[in-house]
Parts: sequence; C-alpha cells; structure tokens
Amino acid sequence: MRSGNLIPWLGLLGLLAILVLILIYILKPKYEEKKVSSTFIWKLSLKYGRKKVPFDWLQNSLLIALQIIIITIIALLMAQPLFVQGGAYEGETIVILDTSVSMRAEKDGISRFDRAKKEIEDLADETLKRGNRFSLFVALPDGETAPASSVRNAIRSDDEALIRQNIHEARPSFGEANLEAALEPVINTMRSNPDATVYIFTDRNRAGSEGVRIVNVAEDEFNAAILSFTTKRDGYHTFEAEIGSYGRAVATFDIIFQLRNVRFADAQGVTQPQEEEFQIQKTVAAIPDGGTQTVRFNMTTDNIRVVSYESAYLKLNVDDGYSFDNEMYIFGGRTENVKVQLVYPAATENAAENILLTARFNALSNADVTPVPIVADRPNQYSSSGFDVYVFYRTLPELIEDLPSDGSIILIGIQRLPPSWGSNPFGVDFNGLSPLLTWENADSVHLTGSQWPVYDTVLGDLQHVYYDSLFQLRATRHAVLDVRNLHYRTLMEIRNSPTSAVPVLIVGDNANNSRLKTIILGLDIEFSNLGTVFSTTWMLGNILSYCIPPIISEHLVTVGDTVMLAGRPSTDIVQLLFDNADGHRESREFQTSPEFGLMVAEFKSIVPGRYWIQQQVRGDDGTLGVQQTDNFFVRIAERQSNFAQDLPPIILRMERDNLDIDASIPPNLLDIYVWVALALVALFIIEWWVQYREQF
Amino acid sequence: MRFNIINDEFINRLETLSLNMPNPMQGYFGGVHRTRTYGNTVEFADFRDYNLGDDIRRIDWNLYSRFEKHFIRLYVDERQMHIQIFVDCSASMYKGNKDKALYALRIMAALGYLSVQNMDKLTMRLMKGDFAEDPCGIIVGKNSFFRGIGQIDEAAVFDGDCNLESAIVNCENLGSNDGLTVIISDFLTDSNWKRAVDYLVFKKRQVLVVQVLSPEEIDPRYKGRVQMMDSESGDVMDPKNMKLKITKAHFKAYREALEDYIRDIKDFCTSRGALFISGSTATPIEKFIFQKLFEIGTIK
Repeated sequence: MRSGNLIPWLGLLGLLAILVLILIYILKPKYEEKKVSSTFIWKLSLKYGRKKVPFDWLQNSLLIALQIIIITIIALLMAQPLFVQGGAYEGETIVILDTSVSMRAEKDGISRFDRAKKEIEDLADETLKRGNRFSLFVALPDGETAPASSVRNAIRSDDEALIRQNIHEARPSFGEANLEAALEPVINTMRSNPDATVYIFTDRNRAGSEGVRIVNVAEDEFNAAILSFTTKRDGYHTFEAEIGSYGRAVATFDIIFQLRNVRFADAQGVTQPQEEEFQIQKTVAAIPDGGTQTVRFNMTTDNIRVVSYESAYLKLNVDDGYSFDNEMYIFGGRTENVKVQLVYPAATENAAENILLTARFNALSNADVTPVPIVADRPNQYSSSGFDVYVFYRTLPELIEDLPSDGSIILIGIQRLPPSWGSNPFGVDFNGLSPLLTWENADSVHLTGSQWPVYDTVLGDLQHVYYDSLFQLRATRHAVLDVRNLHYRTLMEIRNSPTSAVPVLIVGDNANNSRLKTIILGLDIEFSNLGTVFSTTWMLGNILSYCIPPIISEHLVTVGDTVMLAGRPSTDIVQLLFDNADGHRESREFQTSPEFGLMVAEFKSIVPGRYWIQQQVRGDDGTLGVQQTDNFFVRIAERQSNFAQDLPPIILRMERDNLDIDASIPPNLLDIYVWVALALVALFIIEWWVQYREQF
Repeated sequence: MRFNIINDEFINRLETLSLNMPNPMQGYFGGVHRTRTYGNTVEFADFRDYNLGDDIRRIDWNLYSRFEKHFIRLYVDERQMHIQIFVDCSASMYKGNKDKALYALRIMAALGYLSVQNMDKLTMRLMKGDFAEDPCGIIVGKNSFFRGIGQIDEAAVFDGDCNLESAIVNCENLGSNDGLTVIISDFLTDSNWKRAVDYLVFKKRQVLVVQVLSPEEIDPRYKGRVQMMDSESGDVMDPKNMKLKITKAHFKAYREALEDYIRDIKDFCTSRGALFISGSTATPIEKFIFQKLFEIGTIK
C-alpha cells in the first residue's frame, strides 16, 4: 500500500543500494587469470606511471558509474518526487509598487512615482528579455481599489503589452499604502516559485531580507509640511501648529493664519461683534533638514481672546514639490444652532417659572428660541415643523395629530395627557397605560448620589458630576412615569429613599413617526428648584444635544478614515461637496435616515482637502434650501509628510525559511516519469554493451 | 621436446650465404676468414724488408733490381673462427608463445650452418638456470652440424628461469679473440646480461645480441582486470606474478617501456661494439635472416 510518508524513505532505501554496489566492487574484484611469457615489461611500465589518456578515468569507471546512475534513477522513481517545471518561473521578478501619497513628491517636475514606474518598466523589459515572468503588485491603502479600472492590484504575466499597460495606468493614492498587505499575495505567488526576486519600489529606506530588494526612488525632494494644527479650548481658543522641513539644509518661509467669522472677547470677557476674517502672517525661523518648529498664534494683543470661530486656516507660503501638506483647516469652533420653539400657556407668560425656563433656554448660546404663548381660542398657533426642538410647557394640543411631525418634543410640567390622546400616545404600547400616569406630591425628594448621562458632555472637563457635590435638585411634586416599555429610557431619577427611585426624565422614540423623539421631564419649575439652579441650563443644553446629534462625527480626519454623517430630523437631504482627485468639484447626496438621529452615511475620505456638508430641506415647491452647513478637513497622514522618518522593516515575514511552500500546487509540475523510465532502459542497454565489451 | 628446426628448403637457401666477421680476429689456422696477420695464402698483402732467416723464396727480385735492396712479399692469412651460440632456454621463451623457442632455435641453426659452411668451429649452448649446456660439443663440418642439431632438438627444454650472466660468464672455453658469440634470448629477465656482454667484449669476441619477442609481447591484447601469471613463476604467490586492471594508459606505458628497453639494449650493444637485432616471431624466419642479419653485416 502506498503511503505518502513512506515513499521518500523507499527512495532513500534505494540509494543505499549504491553503497552495496560499491562494496561489491571493492570486495569482489574479478581478475581474469592470464598466463604470459613474462611480466618484466609490465613491471617496467609501472614505473612510467599512468599515462594521461583523455577520459580514461571515465572509461575505467564507466561500468560502476552506469550502475550507480541506474540505481539512482530507480531510487528516484521509487521516491516519486515532484518535478517542478522550469522555464518561465525561473528568475521571476516580482515588483511591489508603493502608492503612498509621499510618492507624489516631485523634484524637477518628476514625481517619485513616475520615477519608480520608469525603473519598473526597465526592469520588466530586462526580465521579459530573459524569458522570465514578471509580476506587478500595486500596494494600495487599506480599503482602496486600483485607481484605474483596467489596472489590477496584481498581475502575473509574460505579456509585455499587459504589463506595460498596467504600469502605465498605475496611479499614486493620497493615503498610506499597506505594503504588508501587498506581501500576502506575493507570498502566495512565491509558494509556486520560491526563487523569485522581490523588488519593493518605495521612497523610504527599509530593511529587507534575502531575496527582497528595496528600491528607494526618493531624491531628497524638498517638503515643508504642516505636521499638526490644533486648537486648545480653555474657555477660549488658542492655536498651535508644528511645522517640519525636509530635503533642504535650512528652510525659511512665511505662514499665513486665518480665522473666519471669529468672535473675540476683550480683557473683561465681553464678547465683541463677529469679524468676518482675521489674519496673521509670520515667518518661521530657519528649520534645519528634518527638523520641526512649533508655532503659536497669539492675537494682535494678549488682551484679545477667541471665543468662537467658523474656521481656522493655516497655509505655508512655500513652493515645494509636495503641496498636500501645505494647508490645513480647523472647523468646529462654533456650536451648532438649534431652533427651539417654546410653547407655553399665555396665562403663564409672566409667571416666574416661565420666565426662568425661558431664561434658561436663552442662556444656551446655540439655541435659537422662539416663544409661542398659547391662548385658549387659538390652541394650534404654533408651528408643527421647521424647528429642531419643540418644548411644550404645561400645555399640549388636544389632538395628538396636531403634534409636530419631526424633531424632538420635550414635555415639561405636563400634569396630564389630553383624554383624546388615548392610552397609547406616541404610538407606544404601554399595556393600556400612559407613560405619564399621575402627578403626586412628595416631601422634598431630591437627587442624590447618582450620575446621569444627561449631565455629561457639555463641559468636557466635568463629565462626572454628582448632584450632592454640585447642586441639590429638589422637588415637592413630580410626575409618576412608567418606563416599563422598552421604547423609553430613563435619563434621570429622583430618590426619596435608598431603595426607591422614581424616573423624572425619560426619552422615547415614536413608533408612528420615526423622525420624532419624545422627552418627558417629570418635574415642574413651579414645584422644584429647576429654575433657580444654574445647572438647569446645563441639563437643557445636554437634552438639546441629545435631541440634535452632531451632523458630522469629526472635523479633522486623515485620508482613509471614515466620517459619519448624520441628518437633522427636519432635513431631507445631506449633500457633501468636495474636490476630487482630479481637482473637480464633486457632489454627493445622501437621503436622511428614516430613523431619528441615526447617521445617514459613512463616507470614507480618500482625497485630502476641505469638505462641505449641507443639510438641505425640500420646500413645498420642491426646491432645496440649505438649513445647516458644516465642514470637515481631510489631511494626509503625518507620517507621509515626514520624509525623514524611519519606517520599521516590513520584510520579516518574507524570510524564505518561513515560507510554507505549498507542494500541492499542481500547475507547474512536470510528469517526467516516462522519460526517466526511457532513460533507465537506455542505461541498461549501455550497461549491457559495456559488460559485453569488457568480457569479450 | 621435438622441434622441427631445419628442413632441406631452409638449408638450401642458406647455401648461398656466408658468415661475415667484420672485425678481423686471431682465430685458428685454417678457415676462410681473413685476419690482420700475414699467412701463406696466394693473395698478396704487402712487402717488408728481408731479415736474416726469412725464406729467400719469398724475396721479390723485381724490386731488388729496381732498388738493389731485398724485400719479402707478404700474403694474406685466413683463419678459422669459433662461433658460439647461446640460446635462452627459460620458460618465457616457450610457455607464453611456443614460436619463440622455435624461432630462436632456427636462428641458432641458421647461424650455425653458415659457420660450419665457412669451416669454422661451432658450439651451440642451451642456457638453463645458471649454466649453459653444451649437448653436442664443438662442431666442425656439416655432418657434425646436422648431428648436433638433432642433439639440440632433443636437449632443448624450455623451462624455469635463466641467469644469462652466470650462464655465459661461467661457461668454459669461451675463447679469446677467436670468433663470434651469439646470444639469443627475449632478454625479459632480471639477470644482468650486460655483464656477460662486457665479459665477452673483454675476451675480444665479436658479440651478436639477438632479441626474439612474440607479437603478444610487442602488442599485448588483453585488458581489464587481469592476473598475469609469469611463465617463470613458481606459484601464484610468486612476486613475478602481478594483478592489474589494464587500461589504455597501461598500454601506452607498456609500449613506451618496451621501446625504451629495446633502445637501451641497442645503445648498450653499440657502446660495446656488439651487434643487436630484435625481431618478432611474426616476422618469417627467412626474412629475419636474409634481411636483418644482412643489414648488420653478419652474413653476406
């Protein structure tokens, strides 16, 4: 029975027969006895030594050599080895082309990438002339596909036209090519041809193992780069940038710093009127090659501080061959405006609690509050659309259909739901019960010892706030809310004992209208100290943030990062504008999500530059109007600007000893058993002939 | 051991030849070989002054009439030579190839017949071991020769080895300055035969060295792994025997060794004033005698 493990041992056993054969030749030399008249001359001839006769050694050893070859071939056939076909795979050249954005750096009008393509073309010509196969692997950033449709990430061919086309159409990216990922298919290729030579065309010096040659196509290109541009907010904004210079002994150049729609505060903290543009131009000190310099941007005088801004822009006024890191934006210096409609009974317009509530909303810098007092004969005079947040204080429309159709509804101080709403308001099944059950008195219940998410996030440095340490929220009367339905989540509770907790702030989605979110505050200004504690503003601001999620996840991302785009509940379309790789303005539109507050798109940025987001509302005539805009900036990776940065070796996994050669790859195997067998027969014939010749 | 050494046809062809002594020697009275001394033949040789006691019948009176002085006429002297022929009777002359022994005996017979035909004394000796056997004594005349050949035919036993030096040097009645000594052998021996030649030259004898080789010895045909058993060896373990895997390189070396050995014999003989011829038994005996001996002047 054949065994895969046994077969090579059989071959080894067969080779032992060669030793046996040699022993036989040594131990049993066959001498033919011959009577001669005299051995006198023969003995004399021995003194002459063995005369040099061409191939005499071969003739003397021909028989045993033949027998050894025969036994070797038989052993070979017994071992049944795999014969790898030579030819095109021998001396194969494998090229990995780095498409990182740093390959776009130019010197004398020629980029590193073009230089690499020229060298690869020469290498391909040389390889194909030798009759070998050429493989090209284009190392792309993670998640990117080849820039041109006809270019494949990997080709392995001996077709010169195909190779030339792929080299010609290869384009550099704006990201960081993942060379390690490109090595995976290379290793797969080398499983069928471990002797291939691997070239990596890149622009950094990196270590390579045996058989892997790093070709550095960089030629000391000059690059002045903004490595980082950040803002710090400590009540006011301060700006700082780190500038680097590479490829020039000493570099000096101007930088321009601009703020758009900026508001300053004077020394007394009084906010000044908004300025459309504020600019600083300064010259950086000489930066040595590979050095960096930190630049801080102080305003004209120290007494002026930045309160808010629409955008901060930094530009290096320098002519280098690598412009992708010469400018950078910072957005998000201004809080989004939230349109709030505050609906309350006209009778309470001048009540203290109503004034306090209005003041608290007005204290929010980003809230654009529209008060709507409701009189009895005109109960529905408020707007049911066009606002982000609708606050109903102590009043509700009699018909649930008169509620706004989008946005968030905040109910405050509602002591009962209108009977016509039924037991299932907002489309939420409460097992026949309303979430707002009853309104009951309490003896100075207060919030103690708990931490609630609604008190997070407004001030970043004060994320964990405890009521007992910061303020005492007290109430003498509160609503009894039912949150047994999973559609509601408790954001805040009050306690009057360690074991009993009563929810006073809940939030729920509307099953009938997914673009509507309902928030119920079970406290009343009149029966609590909500209107007097300053943190009420804080709480309301967080509630608004909760109701109106940011329309963008980040304002500064790196090429290849994903940006989350969100839509306002009242928005119909989210439009994204940016300049594409070819420099043309490109627009993409995303339909807002049917569900409240969820993102509408994940956008993976592959081109650096400024991006505009417009939240658009479709009017009654079908035209789109811009409701909200925002920006984000996509920068190239800092590592791609730092030409002097040493990158770690990437070739460790290419150690050939570690290659798991896949012997089961069938295409390159050559079945030469028949030819070996024929050679064996021929050798037998020669052996017989030589034997015959020696004996007769 | 019977060899058909001679026959009538062979003898008839020898009738026209005679043995020649290129170097005049003293020899014995009688015979037909000229010498440097003056004798009583009728062939004039020279004049000399008359001395008291000379035979006055030899005074040339014509010269006296011209010079008024007495001169004696001198005549050429012819002497009888003693031809001694030594034949190597070692096994190598017979066991490897029987033709070698017959060839050697025929050369001996041919030279012997020519010598008795010239009225010379003939001794035919068979060298066996350290001695040279003389089965038929000194032969004078053809009848004695034919009788002696018969005795040689019976006594010629080619066996064992032969020490040429001892056999010749120790031989009695070698003579001195009185003729030709012929040594017929294959000279495939370790014995110092050169001393024997030197000894004969010392004895002022004309020496003719005749080497007889078989075709196998000139151009051996066997090859491969061969255990060569020397015909003169005593047993298998005799050092004369040898094992050899014969290749073309060995053949090349053998031929060079043989050529050098024959050249060495020839050079030695030339240096001693001896004559040397080497022949193969493949060459017809008539051709050997009528060509090679003729070329070196031994016969005319």
